[in-house]
Amino acid sequence: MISVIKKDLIMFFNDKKALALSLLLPIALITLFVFAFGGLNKRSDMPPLKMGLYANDTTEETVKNMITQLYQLNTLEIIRADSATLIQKIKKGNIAGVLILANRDNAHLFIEDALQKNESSIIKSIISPIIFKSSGAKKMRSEINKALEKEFGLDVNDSSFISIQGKIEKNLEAGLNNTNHTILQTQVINTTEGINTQLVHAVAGTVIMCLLFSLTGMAASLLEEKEKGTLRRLMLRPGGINNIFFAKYFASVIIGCFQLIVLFLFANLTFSLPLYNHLLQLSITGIAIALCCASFALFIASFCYTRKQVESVSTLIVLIMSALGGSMMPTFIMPELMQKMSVFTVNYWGVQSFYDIYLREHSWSLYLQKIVVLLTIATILLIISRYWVRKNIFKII
Amino acid sequence: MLAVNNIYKSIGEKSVLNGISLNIEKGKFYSLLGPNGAGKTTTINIVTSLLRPDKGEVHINGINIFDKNQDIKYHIGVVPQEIALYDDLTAWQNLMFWGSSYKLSQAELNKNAQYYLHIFGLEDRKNNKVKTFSGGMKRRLNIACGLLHRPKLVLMDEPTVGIDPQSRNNIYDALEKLKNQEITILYTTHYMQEAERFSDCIGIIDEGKIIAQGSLDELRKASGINDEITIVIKNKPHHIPHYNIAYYTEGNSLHFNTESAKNDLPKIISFCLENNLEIEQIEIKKVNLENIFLKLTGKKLRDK
Repeated sequence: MISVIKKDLIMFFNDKKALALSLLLPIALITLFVFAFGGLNKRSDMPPLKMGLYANDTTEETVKNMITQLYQLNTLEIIRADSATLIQKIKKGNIAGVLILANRDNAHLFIEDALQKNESSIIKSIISPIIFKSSGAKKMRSEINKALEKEFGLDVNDSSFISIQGKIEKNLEAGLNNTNHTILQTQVINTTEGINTQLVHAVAGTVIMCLLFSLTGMAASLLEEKEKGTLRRLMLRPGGINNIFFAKYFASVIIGCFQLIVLFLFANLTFSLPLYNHLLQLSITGIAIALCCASFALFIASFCYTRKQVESVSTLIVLIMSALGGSMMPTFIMPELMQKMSVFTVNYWGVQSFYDIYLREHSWSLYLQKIVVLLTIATILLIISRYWVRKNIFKII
Repeated sequence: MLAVNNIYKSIGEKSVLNGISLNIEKGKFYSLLGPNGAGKTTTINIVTSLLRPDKGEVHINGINIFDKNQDIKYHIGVVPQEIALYDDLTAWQNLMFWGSSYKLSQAELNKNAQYYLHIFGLEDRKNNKVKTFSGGMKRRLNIACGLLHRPKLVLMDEPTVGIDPQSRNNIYDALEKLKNQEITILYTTHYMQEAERFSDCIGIIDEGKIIAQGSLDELRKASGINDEITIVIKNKPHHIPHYNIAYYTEGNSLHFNTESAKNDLPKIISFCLENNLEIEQIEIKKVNLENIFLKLTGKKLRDK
């Protein structure tokens, strides 16, 4: 078995062009995805969203306060101009929305870009508390006054009215400013301590996808050997077909681990992805993913009759699996059905285990559950492919 | 050394082998001749234990190969019909790889590899990748890879197909050397001259049956075909004398059928001189395997 593994490795490393492609292509893809997902920053904070702001009269106290508070938000980049200019900017797609602050009791207006629904929704959620605290509170006072007058028949000039109104306003003010009475409190967990989630996603997702592609090519060499007659000659040597099958498998696993090491080193050197703090977990995950991808590759090859069939079938399946499993885009932005389907892919469990290492603060037992899932997938695929390889590929006539 | 007893094999509905039996003694060269689809490669696949027969047994050195098929592989060398080499490896790397499963020490493997590179004239190219080799060189290396572990029994499946005369002669020289080393060889071929030149025994296989086997002389006797000597004389004689070797006349020619042209030619010349028949031309047609094959099977082989 060792001689077959050695031969496969020599052939892999001898073919300089294929070797370069199997490393350069993933490197190019990782770089592309890191840029695309914004993984270049140290942390994964979003860049500020651009919002246009126009106020007809900035002398009014409430409007002044609102503008000051809006400028204090680091999640927004405020662009001041007249309303016509700002609307033009929306039409050009330069900004997602414009807030037009009204005078006195009139309602403020938010104009949004239909093509940037997500961005404008985020902007609305950011500015809502400020608008509520200033204009909302003012509106509420006015409604309370109306209620006092209408429901309790108090005259606005009455001393008791003035007293009640004063107390309500005082408590309302205190309530709005008192953080101890916050209805929704936020507690942050899974702090990533300077690790960019997009970077982890881009590296993990791409590496697994590329591993699936390259190892399927390795498994397809079994069919190429059959076509050329070397497989028959291998079967004539002492050792039996299990030797050949598992030699191919372990050669693929070794090559997979080699690719993982090179690609993670690249991500470490180029994008500062931490490696050395998580070396043990990364090694375990790397081996589990290599075993899983090699099993998947043999599984695909076992159903095919020619190398070309493997290439076309695997391209289709790996692309679908990568799209579903979160190699190309994070699964949380997918529809629910697709998210449910993603658990049937190697990519999903691989990416999730990398998330566990880098981004989540949970225990070894939860992390190891994902490794067990990966190893179970590897074993099941290996058993099926062993059966089909014997039936399809090792068949003499 | 090799005993194949009454082998039957069907693939799907088609019956491929119908009771093949052959025996090869130690150190003998046995050629299996047959047209395409006759069952030659299936026989080799069964002898190498890649295929199991439906019925019958194969013994190598008295051991049933299906009882101990892994052990027996150490004693068999197979040269497949395809050029089963790795193009991206060098000749040396191929030899090392194919020889690596036979419990040879590295020193022994190196020695054998050097020996066969020398025998097949590939010493100068040992560090070149196989993809740079000509077809003939690949064929020679293909054979060398099957012999590295010095097997007692070598099975060669059409090892000289489609190569240049120079490579073919090199392979013939190597085959002579193997014969001298008392290696038992089962050889399938379409080239009659190869079978005639090397074989101690020839088996003619057709439609899954061995229809005749034996030495070339035995096959000739079995086929009933004789050598033919044609004497062209200057003037047609008025009277044709009687002679104890059968002949017939056709114009100025006398056609003699004889079991051995070599033995009877002097007698025939004497007969002509005694009867004042002035010889102008002598033509000898010796019986060859092709005639025998044609007579026995009614078919021609693919290549001549």
